[in-house]
Amino acid sequence: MNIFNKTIAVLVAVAATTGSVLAAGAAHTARAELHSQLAVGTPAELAVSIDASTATPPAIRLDGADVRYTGQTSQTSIINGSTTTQLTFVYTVVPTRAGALDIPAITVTTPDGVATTAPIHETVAAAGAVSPAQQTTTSASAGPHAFIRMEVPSRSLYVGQGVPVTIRAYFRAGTSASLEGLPHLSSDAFTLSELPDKPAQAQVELAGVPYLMATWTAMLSPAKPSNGALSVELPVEIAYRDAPRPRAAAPGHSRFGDLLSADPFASSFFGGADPFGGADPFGGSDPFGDLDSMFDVGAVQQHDVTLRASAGHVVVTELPAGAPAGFSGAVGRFKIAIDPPAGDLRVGEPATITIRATGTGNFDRLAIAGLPATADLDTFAGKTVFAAGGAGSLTGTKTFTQTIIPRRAGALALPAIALPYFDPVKRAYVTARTAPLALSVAAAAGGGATDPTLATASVRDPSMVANRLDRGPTRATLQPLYRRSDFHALFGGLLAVTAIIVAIAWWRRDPRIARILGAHRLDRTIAKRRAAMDLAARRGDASGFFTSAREALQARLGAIWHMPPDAITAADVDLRLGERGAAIRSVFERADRTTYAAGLAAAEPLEPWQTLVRDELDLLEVTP
Amino acid sequence: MSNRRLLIPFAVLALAAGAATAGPGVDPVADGNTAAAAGNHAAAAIAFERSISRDGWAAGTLFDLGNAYAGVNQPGRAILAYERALILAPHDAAIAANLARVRETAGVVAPEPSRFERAVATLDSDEWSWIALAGGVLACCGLVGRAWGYRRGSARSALIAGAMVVVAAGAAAIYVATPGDSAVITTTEVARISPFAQAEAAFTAPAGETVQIERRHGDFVYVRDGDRSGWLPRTTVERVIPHDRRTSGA
Repeated sequence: MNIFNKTIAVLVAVAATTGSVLAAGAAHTARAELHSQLAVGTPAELAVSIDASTATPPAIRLDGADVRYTGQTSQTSIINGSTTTQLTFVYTVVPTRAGALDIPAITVTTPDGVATTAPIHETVAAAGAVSPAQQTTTSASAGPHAFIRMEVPSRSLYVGQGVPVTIRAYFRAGTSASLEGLPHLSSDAFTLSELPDKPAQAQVELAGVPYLMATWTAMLSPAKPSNGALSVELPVEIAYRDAPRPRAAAPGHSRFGDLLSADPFASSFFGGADPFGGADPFGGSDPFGDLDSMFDVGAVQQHDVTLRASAGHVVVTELPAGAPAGFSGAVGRFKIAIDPPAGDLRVGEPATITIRATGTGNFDRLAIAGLPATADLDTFAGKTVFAAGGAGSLTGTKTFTQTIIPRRAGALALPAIALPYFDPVKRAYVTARTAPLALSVAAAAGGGATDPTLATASVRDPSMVANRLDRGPTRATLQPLYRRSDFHALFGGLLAVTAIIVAIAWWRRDPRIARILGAHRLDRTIAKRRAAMDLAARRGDASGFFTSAREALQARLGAIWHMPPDAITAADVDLRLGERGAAIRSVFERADRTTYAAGLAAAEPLEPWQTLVRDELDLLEVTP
Repeated sequence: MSNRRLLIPFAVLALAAGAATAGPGVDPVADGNTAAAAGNHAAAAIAFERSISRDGWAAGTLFDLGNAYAGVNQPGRAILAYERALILAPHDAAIAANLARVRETAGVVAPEPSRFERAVATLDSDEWSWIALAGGVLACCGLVGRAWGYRRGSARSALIAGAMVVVAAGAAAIYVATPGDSAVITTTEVARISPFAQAEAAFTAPAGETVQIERRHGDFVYVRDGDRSGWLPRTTVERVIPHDRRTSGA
């Protein structure tokens, strides 16, 4: 660690001390943990931790074990600007007899007061039952530069149980470390969940050597029965600078180095160890390390390593048989309580009850059945919400809300709700229950009863308008008019008729259509005139005959010359047709003559004229 | 003569069918009113339902049916009956009064109509539809007059005025009418986030609440109640305007 880092550490310590002073009077918490499986004659590690910067190591004496104080570590964490310091006193416990070992509550004295740990009850195995390799947490280290540890609260677990584990990786000051992944277990009999992506980091000192400590807190869950060592692995890339070469061996060494190496008091002053050597108290990162690097002393070493540590021998067993009804796999210690519905209960009106399960354990397997539906009560499953009580999900409160609707007025007894679970401490199934609730249900606001069988006794609100005897006109459908097919048909028929009429009008405006229609109209006119002409001929009506003959010819000529038929005279015929129109002109003249002097043509035969007119009409139609 | 002989079996069948649907009394409405007068609202409700099934929808019968359901404390079905009665008699003050009373008792709040909505609702949907049809006739006459060149100025005015009447009155008819997806919760039920009984609850739908049915999946319907939405069992929701005369459920 260089001077700068040490300065920061000192400042942090000062800040932590200041915070502790400011928080004087606040209660400290202490806890004790055994980090090894106990066996007669086998040393195990007992750690007593307290969240204080200064404390006195407590004296511990146990009946059935020898206890020796090993040392202490301190850990300062700065999270979101909040500084916490934890002191850990480490003891070595060597059991002297097999059987139960009770570690009583340990009192730790701090300048602000005292804190007490929870007692520990463990079982000591006979000598030789546990191999030395399994006794303590071990770690595969990358030399003195990095190592890892895993703490498991218990070595005897049950399938489905969840326990918190703490994984700590230590990197010696001056060592650059890059995580190549997250910690993982070497056994598939366990699952590690809720593992944070980024570990909490803190500066700690172990035996006077500064380390950067990375800490993961996760939940360990046995997935199947097993009996063996539980190990954790962490892939890292570390880089560090070799220790500086001895000054005496270096060519061109400094005079300062010579003085130190030749100092007869140096060895005794540093306890026989070279303060600048590989085993110096600064761990290769002596205060002059940076000065050395300026002179290119020591090469940089970079390695990909996998840190490994064993948490010891862990036995996982199946849950015993005889699970109570409703057991859903919850393992831990839980309590259950029920909140009665707020406000008055009324028939037919929904109300909500809240059932809360609190404690420690695998809440994900905890299920609350709720109240069953009865003749007096309709029930509906509601929402389940879990609120963690700490950093993990092993402690907290699971809240289950249920909607109930009373069916009858009067007293309503809600039965106790059971929550069966397995208690790993008692090693037995336990069923927690709520207290039964006695509620009162008022009648519905309408005064009636929901049950139709009670309807004969029901009373309707007197303020309502009474029945009417006239039912009014009936209808086959409630659909509005605009959605009914008969209305659509009516509207569609109107549009269809309109469309047809408009189409006809447009059709008639077409020139070709108009020409055809005009031709048909002309043919009909001429046919009528010819019929009149024939009739007049049969009757011997010369005046009528010639008049009809002239009109027929005028109609044909008018269509040819695009003139009004009435306006065509004998002079027009003479002018336009010349000699070819002589017969037509004579018909026109005869018609005029019979009109103004009817008696002149009375005796004249009409058949030749009839033939002449027909021939002329046919001729005009063919060659206009 | 032979045709008359053929008609006899059909007449007998028709009489038998009529007797079967008639039930215990000749006039189910009279039976229902008798039962209601005696305080037996459940029997009255059954009689009025039988009348509707046999004779069709009638505002008076639906009103009495709503009263009967209110008497047996089934506000959801009572509100549904009153809503249907208001479709047939939208200006009936007695129906509106009883509907408001049952809603108040059930704790169901209906939105207060705006001034514009009240103005449009002075005529019901069918009346607006007839006005729209009249506008359509006027527009068609104008179109025909234009096509045939008959009084072109007047024809043009008739066409424009008629088209405007069709659009305005048609929009009013649609606006005033009860939406086809409108439904009433008949029984208080918990709406869920998925269409199965074990799904997580979304909200509690009280009986009598008017909701909109958006889609259907199996025995569940997805309803929207204001800002809330969820799946309800199909048997707890009934459309105000059923698809056909006696369609029950959603």
